[in-house]
Amino acid sequence: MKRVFTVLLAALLLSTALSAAPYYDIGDQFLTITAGPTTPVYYYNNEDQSSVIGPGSGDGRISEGGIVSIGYEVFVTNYLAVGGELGYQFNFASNGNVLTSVPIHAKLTFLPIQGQFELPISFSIGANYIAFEDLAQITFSATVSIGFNYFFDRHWGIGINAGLSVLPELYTDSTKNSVRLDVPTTISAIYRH
Amino acid sequence: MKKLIFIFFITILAILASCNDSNQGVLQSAHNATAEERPISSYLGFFDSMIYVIRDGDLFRASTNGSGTVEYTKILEVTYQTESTETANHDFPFLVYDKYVYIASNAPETTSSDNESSSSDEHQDPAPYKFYRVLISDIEKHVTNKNGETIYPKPSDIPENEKESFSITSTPITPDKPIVEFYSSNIASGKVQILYKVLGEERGGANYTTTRHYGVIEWTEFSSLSKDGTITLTNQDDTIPTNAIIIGDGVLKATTDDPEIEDFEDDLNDLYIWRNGKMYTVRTGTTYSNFPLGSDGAYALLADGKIYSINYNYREGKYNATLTNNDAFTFDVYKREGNYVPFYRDETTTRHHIVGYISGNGIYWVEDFTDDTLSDQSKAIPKLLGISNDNDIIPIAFIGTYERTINGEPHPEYLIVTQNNGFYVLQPTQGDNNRGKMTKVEADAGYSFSQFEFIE
Repeated sequence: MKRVFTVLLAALLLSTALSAAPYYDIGDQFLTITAGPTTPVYYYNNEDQSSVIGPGSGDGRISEGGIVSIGYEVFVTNYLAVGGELGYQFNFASNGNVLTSVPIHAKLTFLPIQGQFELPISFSIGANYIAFEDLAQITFSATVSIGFNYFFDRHWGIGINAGLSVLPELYTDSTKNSVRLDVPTTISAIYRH
Repeated sequence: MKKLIFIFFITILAILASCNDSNQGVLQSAHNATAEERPISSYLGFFDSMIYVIRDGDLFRASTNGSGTVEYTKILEVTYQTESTETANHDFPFLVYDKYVYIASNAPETTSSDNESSSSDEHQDPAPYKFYRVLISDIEKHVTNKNGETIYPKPSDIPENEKESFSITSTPITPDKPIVEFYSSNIASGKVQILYKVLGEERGGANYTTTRHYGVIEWTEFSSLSKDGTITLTNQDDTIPTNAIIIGDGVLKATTDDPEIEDFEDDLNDLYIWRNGKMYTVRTGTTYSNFPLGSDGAYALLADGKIYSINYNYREGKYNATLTNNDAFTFDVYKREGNYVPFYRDETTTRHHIVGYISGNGIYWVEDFTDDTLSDQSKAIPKLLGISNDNDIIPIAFIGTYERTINGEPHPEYLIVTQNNGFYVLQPTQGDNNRGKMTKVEADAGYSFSQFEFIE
């Protein structure tokens, strides 16, 4: 985690140096609708302390899935926006049933490059409702992502993003614990004001 | 910042408040889910690069797509609900051979006269048993209806003119019991052989000995006619075996559980060979505790770790079992019914003559039947094949072989269908026939059904 903050801080300093005049003012806001595939890349099962890498069918794997989300953020500094994001993610288990995940995240986005072309770096964390067959649980998850935005005009733009999500599921009975990592790759429609 | 703290606080509360009483976490449940929830109960046969199995009572065919993953397609709904919500499983597919599905049926006839009489009778006479076969292509015609929708036809949906049938014509005697009990089937020399048992009438007084006889129906590839090769196994005064199965072409294994017949095992009345409608009892002179093997009119018996060949003695007019010490094992046979499936391959070399079979949940080798080891009878004792990670694998049937050449050496591999888990390839450890590895047939394994040589 220390390394992440170090990187973020370095990027902040660098971008501040590069950006002569910030595009956003405090209080500016943007709305984002995002969709795309998400790939399970790693799963650790504490019950038998086994792990699998990559998506698939059987042997503890689940399929590639998809995610859609809607987010709203407000600038609290010229480069930093905070807000929230609500998503819906699905993956298919080997028996064909759907594993559902509904992240409700607080989100922090840093924009070292802004204007017509932007480089958003985001971190989000919050609750995540997961459900499969007749089981459901509220846990938490976190996502770090980086993207590229292009704005057609003053308000509207599109973006592409890639990230890494961490979804742990923790219980007092540690044999039920597990962790999954996903890589979402998405496109976004953005409205800023 | 206050909002962030609030959201974080709510999240923690939600985690603490949520509850999952299951033995598994949600992610564990999803990741541990297996594709095959329907248990496979039996393997019926192979045709046109596809394997036919019974899953949950219904007939499915299993095929491999381009990547080798096994896909199941239901083609016949055998277990279904009638209007009265009773399960109408009167028709039992039991064999797929060549281009046919063979079905045994004791479904009551539904003629107008039956309907009239049934209302007045206290009980209904048992239905005559019927065996019929249907072309797989004819079944496929009914899988899709005229609107293009996928449906699962029931045996009763197949028109009678698409069925070749043979009915057992015995008089129903015992109320509420089928007059015929279907036993087993066998494929040999282009013939399909079906064994059945006919229940007889009860005799008067206190003697309720039931007389029965066994019969064999044979279908040949060269004739659509079926014939009744009825065999009277015993006369009325004898105790007849209560269990019988076909174990090879013209070979019947029958046992009795009558405690009054103390020396039944010693008499070895439990192996029969039929030829031209006549039944012969095989005399071995020893008690055999293992399975007989045979095909194409030549048989062998594994008894107490020794191999016997079974030959017809023309002078005595009967079959005898003779202890052998040479290359008796030139047979290749397996059995579908019962709890064991012997198989044997590799008669072309003297290095790895392997006899294997499935018994219970295990796979056994009878190791190294080479010319040399035949003289060492202790090596002929079946040993459980140790397979790693086999806890969840319940073998059902051995269905084919495949020989992989590695560094110029032949490595035999066997295709086995398992309950719940589908199809596995058994790879014996070279040089150690007591060890082996099971590999699931899926994309990563790189196997397709058509690679295997199917033994029928």
